[in-house]
Amino acid sequence: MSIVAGDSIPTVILRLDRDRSVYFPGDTLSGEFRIEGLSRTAIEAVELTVLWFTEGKGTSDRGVHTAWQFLPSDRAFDPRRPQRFSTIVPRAPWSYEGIILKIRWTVRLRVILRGMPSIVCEVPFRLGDLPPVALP
Amino acid sequence: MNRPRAWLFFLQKKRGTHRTIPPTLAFWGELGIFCLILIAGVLGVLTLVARIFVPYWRAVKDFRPQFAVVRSARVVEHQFPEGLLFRPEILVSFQAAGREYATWAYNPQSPLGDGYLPDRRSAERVLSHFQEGQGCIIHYDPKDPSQAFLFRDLPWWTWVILFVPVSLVILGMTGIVMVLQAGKEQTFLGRMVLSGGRPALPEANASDLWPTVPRPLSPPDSPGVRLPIRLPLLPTQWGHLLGWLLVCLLWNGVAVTLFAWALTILSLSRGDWSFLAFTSVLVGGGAFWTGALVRQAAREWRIGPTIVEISEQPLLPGSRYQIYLAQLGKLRVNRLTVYLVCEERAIFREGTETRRESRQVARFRLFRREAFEVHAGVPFEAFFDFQLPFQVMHSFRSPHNEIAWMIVVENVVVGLPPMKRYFPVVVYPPHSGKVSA
Repeated sequence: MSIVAGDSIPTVILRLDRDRSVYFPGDTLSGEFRIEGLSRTAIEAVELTVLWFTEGKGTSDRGVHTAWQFLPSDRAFDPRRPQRFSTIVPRAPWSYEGIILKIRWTVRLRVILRGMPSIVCEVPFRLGDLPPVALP
Repeated sequence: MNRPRAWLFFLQKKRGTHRTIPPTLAFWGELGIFCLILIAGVLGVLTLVARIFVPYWRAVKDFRPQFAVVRSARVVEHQFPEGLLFRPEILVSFQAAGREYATWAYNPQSPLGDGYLPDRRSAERVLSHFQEGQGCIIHYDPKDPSQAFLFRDLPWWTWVILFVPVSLVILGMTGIVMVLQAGKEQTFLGRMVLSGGRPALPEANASDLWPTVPRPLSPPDSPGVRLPIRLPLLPTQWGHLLGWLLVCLLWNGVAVTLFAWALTILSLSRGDWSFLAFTSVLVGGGAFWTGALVRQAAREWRIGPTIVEISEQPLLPGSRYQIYLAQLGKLRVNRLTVYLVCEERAIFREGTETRRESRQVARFRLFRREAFEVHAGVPFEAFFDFQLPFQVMHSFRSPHNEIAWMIVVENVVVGLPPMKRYFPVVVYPPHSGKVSA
């Protein structure tokens, strides 16, 4: 699965290795991203986060499972080349589709630019395969 | 339709959206209101202490009682910024340290301070108790016997009046603590440690997300008698009842104080009947509230305790568990039903208010028994088991959202409305990966 953000220039490509978006605890979630149309000097930092968040009636909560930061000052980092990432999916919280509460998981990529608004792109995925709640 | 300008935030709709003003503004607004309440309470306490309790304390500590003879009486008028006030004074003669003294004495204990009263009629009513040539007890200063006062014991209503500012202090402090606690709530769980191109959290620590799953009680925490774990009763019954009784006591304290105040004002002068009527409504409301709470407490007492024990915790989807149920008391039960219930709970802000909402999303009936009697000293007991379905959500808790599982015991007793008791349990995510039905 991949998400492409931006028009022709700049372009951010974020992709998960698996086509199916359902993961289970202990699975390996891996993928890659690359950024086209931006010079190294235009980028301040790139943050990649695997996180869950809540939606619904209550104030939204969120929690970070894993986060990476890529800095242009790091010589090994070339944003035009695919940057790999990988993590083990945790046991909780499971993705949940309730009545007044929903729990969602996503891989979020944030490209922080110098003097310009950040570019954010996300690839949602599901932890577990619980069906949506149906009221009794 | 034109939208209100951003700077007219106070004209924006207050209901219908989760948040209509910035949270920072809401936080400081709430904090300011409770600080004002606290300050009002503290000022009230200090005023009462300075005007009533300190003079009394000084009388006990520094002044000596002495028999004196009333020689004359007068009402002293004094123009204060808030208006003309009146102080009843009597001329007394007494002997101290072998000398004869004559001085104007007055009672410094009054709500307006320094013995002043709001009208001449009240002052004259005080003086009517002193006849010329009559004896009375005064308190004089041994260092300066020309200083003499007519102290009295503290009247009962001073303690009742103290209830009002003390209630404000409690309300203000409680509010401040609640606002500060709400402000501390973290909306960002987990650790965000960033590093160059490597996972910020080592894989071994991926279980840092476990804080979102509540910890269950283990057998040593709460051992059962028939089964390993006795489940705690949610404080919805006695806890809430005690909380409401406290609030009710405060309400009645304030209401009775205001009512006594209204009566005092009415007896001292022509007074205000509308104020008395208003305070009567407050007292009536308090009496009705007290009655309802007492009835609720009596109902709880009559039904008696309910005990629920379970073979194991946490619960895992697809696993079987045994339950022990005991109902004590002396009652005729029409129907007793035990459910396993899952509830979604959410906390959100509407304007400056924090609201809670819950929704039951799953309910499984575990046990049902109809038409039986429970005798005093012989509890009704039942063992039964159940299997938790495979595809259910685990318990979850974050600062503003929760998925809670509980065992609900519903008693329908002859002559009483249905009574529910809640025993929380914790459901863990399944051990293995994929769950199958």
